Amino acid sequence: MTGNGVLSNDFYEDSANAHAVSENGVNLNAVHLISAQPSVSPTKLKSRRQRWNVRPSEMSKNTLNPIRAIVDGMKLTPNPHKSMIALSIGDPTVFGNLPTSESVLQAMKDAIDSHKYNGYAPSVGYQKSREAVANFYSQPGAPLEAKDVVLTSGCSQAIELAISALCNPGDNILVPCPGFSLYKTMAVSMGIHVKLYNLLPEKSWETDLQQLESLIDDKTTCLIMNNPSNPCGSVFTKTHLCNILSVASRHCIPILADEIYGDMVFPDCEFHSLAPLTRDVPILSCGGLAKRWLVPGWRMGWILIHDRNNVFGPEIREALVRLSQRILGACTVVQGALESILNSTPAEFYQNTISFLKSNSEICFYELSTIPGLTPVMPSGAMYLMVGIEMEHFPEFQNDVEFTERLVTEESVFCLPATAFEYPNFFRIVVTVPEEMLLEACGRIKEFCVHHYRHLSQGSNDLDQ
Amino acid sequence: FFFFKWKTYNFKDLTLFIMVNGQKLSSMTSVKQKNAKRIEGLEKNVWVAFTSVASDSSIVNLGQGYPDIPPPSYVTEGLAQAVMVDRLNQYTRGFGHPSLVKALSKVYGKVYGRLIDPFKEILVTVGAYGSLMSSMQALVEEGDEVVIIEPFYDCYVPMVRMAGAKPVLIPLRTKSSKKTNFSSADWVLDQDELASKFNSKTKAIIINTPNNPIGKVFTRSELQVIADLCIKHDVLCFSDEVYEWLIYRGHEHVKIATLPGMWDRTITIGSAGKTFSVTGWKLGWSIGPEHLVKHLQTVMQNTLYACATPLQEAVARGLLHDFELMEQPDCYFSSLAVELQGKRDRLACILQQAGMSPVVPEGGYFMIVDVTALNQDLSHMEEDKPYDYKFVEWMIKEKKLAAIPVTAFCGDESRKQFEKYIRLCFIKQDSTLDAAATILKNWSKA
Repeated sequence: MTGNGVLSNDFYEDSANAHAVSENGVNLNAVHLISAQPSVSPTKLKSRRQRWNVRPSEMSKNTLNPIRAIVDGMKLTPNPHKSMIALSIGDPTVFGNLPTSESVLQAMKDAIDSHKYNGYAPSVGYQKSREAVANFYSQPGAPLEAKDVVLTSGCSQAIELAISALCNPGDNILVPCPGFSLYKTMAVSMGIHVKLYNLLPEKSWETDLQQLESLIDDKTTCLIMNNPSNPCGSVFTKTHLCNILSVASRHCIPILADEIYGDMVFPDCEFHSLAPLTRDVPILSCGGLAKRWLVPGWRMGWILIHDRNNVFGPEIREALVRLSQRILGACTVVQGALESILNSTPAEFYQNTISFLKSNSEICFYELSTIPGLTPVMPSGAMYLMVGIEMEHFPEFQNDVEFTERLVTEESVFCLPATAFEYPNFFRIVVTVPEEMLLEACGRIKEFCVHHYRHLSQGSNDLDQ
Repeated sequence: FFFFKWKTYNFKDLTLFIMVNGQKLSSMTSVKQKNAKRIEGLEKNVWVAFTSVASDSSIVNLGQGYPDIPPPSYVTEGLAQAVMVDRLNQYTRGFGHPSLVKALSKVYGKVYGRLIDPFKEILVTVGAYGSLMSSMQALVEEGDEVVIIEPFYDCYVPMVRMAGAKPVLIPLRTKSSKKTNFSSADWVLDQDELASKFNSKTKAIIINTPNNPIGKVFTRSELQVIADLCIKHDVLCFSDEVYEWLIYRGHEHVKIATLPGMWDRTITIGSAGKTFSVTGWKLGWSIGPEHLVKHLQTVMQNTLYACATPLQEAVARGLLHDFELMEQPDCYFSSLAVELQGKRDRLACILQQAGMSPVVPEGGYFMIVDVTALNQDLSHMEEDKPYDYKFVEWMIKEKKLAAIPVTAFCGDESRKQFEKYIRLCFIKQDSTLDAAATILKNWSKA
């Protein structure tokens, strides 16, 4: 050691000492240097580290995508004799059978050609674009102005902003189960605890209100709702929405309403936006272009601030503005196209998308309902279908992860195990794929289940079904 | 607009005034104006009754079995091209236009796995109806018995009777005690009952696979049971296979003529209308051994002589087009079935969601559904008709949805077994199915 407390390079470059080991096998270099040099003062030990040691942050370590975690852990080697059919990804564009509307594409082209949308925008988005969103979503019971809209880079960022504006580390939020995994990923990443409230499959995935209420404590700062639901495809009735609002109202909990699938409901159902149903509960309604306009990659989302009771007041609004300054919001070209996208897309585009999703859902539901051991739940909207697995009839598999893993290996059909959504013994099917592919997949799932199904009365001896 | 009358009547019940030699005579005395005995009692026809419904566009028509989806363009273009060739507008070979019989020989040669002589083992007829009629007239004697499986395509019985023979009916019965998810596979023949229908007078059995209206696809073993009886009693088999290509995933169409000992005693009937979704073209064919087909040809040459030339040419081209694609997904023979499977599943789902129990077919484009669960009170309808006739009549009027009553496909004795079922056709555009879905969903609302 030199006098100023800095470890001399000699100490390390002395190769004889570099791996010096004492008699009892202890690596001498690992010995605390402080104890070797007791005369050095603590301030002088703010040492420049001379050894590389870059560790990932605590936040990064706490950020986990359960879907990734599960999928990466599965041995996904498809059957080489059968073409892979992925019913796992919630991206309607994968097979090209659900193109966006021509008017949407034209709006983007016009925005680019105008040359007006290449510079930085205000972090909450252009005023005009916010106005367009406000006008599109404003309703008599829940009016909106540009100042109530924050544009974000995708609905995912909208959710992130909302959570980070309302919650501190150590707080907890209420998240649906089964539910989209991103809510938990974000919350835990920020040191916020997550409490799961149950959805009931036998009641078309309605919320278990009593259980929800029992979870609330004084550190609960937000209730997240997702209607229509990913992964369930369920749509809440007006009555049920009001029941959930009363719980929130009673306990003074604000709501983050993830309505990314808003209006994507089948013709015989009605979508009710949450905000108009309440006067007192403040709501941050998150949405975006991704699903309804079939352009998830464009990263265009928004938060609609509903605060007729003035609970959020200027403070929460300013919080959202400040937080939006971290990444300065959505792509400016899409913002430039937004007004035209919202106002010029013909009604048939939405109707055709819904018709297609409904048709596929009916086909899939019917096919799977004839398969012993599976219990599909008919959706009312969005683009998903949840299927229950009667695990007692499939003794070879411990859980839905093993079931879906083997389904890939044997039949080259990939569905997400609902463990990814905190709901074991179910799997999720995405119904955006072309009809023939869906039929082919259902046929293969049937073969798989017939092959592995065991009646309860049989022991493991009788393998021949 | 509903012209159908359950009670049969004939000209004896009407009084006609006819001028003969300047004197009025009532029909009661003019035996010569009366119908021939061979068509006695055959006046009622469910299609004549229900075609009128089709003309009312406010009614969602899932009744009569014809597609409202377009035929493949190469087929209709083939007709347009054929008609421009002058000689194709004139008579062609009576037993079948050469290019058509050769195309049929090619396609079915592959399907049967045997060489089929296009000129001696194939007859082209006016629709599959023409093949059925020619077969009966050629091979069924007065006094013979012909076994027919219920529910049956309704023309079989009148045709047997017109040949002076006796229809012997045997119903399909549900075998399982399932409560849900009914399939056409659940309807089977009781083997002992079937055997009891055969005797020394039995000349033929008519089978229809896939079956209209249930959609049952007879399995190889089921056909073997029938074949065994045919061989044992030296009985012919008329196999109506017009829906042969419309087989859904997981099922296989088996031709009874390919079972050992059956080629020599079977006439297999096919249809251009069903194969190419051109029901109005009225072209069908009979395939079988020369020693039987030659008799059908005798009937043809003395009744209709020949079928329309340009239509035959167009069908020939269509067959050759799809022959090249056989085994591939774009072959219309298989692609139509894939398209229809989606519609089948949708209709099944829609019916289930409405609380009904559909019998989901393994083939064909019809589905029968038990309407018991709807608990529709029809006691206000006085007539002595089977429940399904009254139900369909009521449904057309009150719900603007048309179907066909399944007892139209049965004999009187089986009425009770089938009178809670109606038949729905699903080779329809999605918008038609959507409209039906809306009606069914709102069924219980006033």
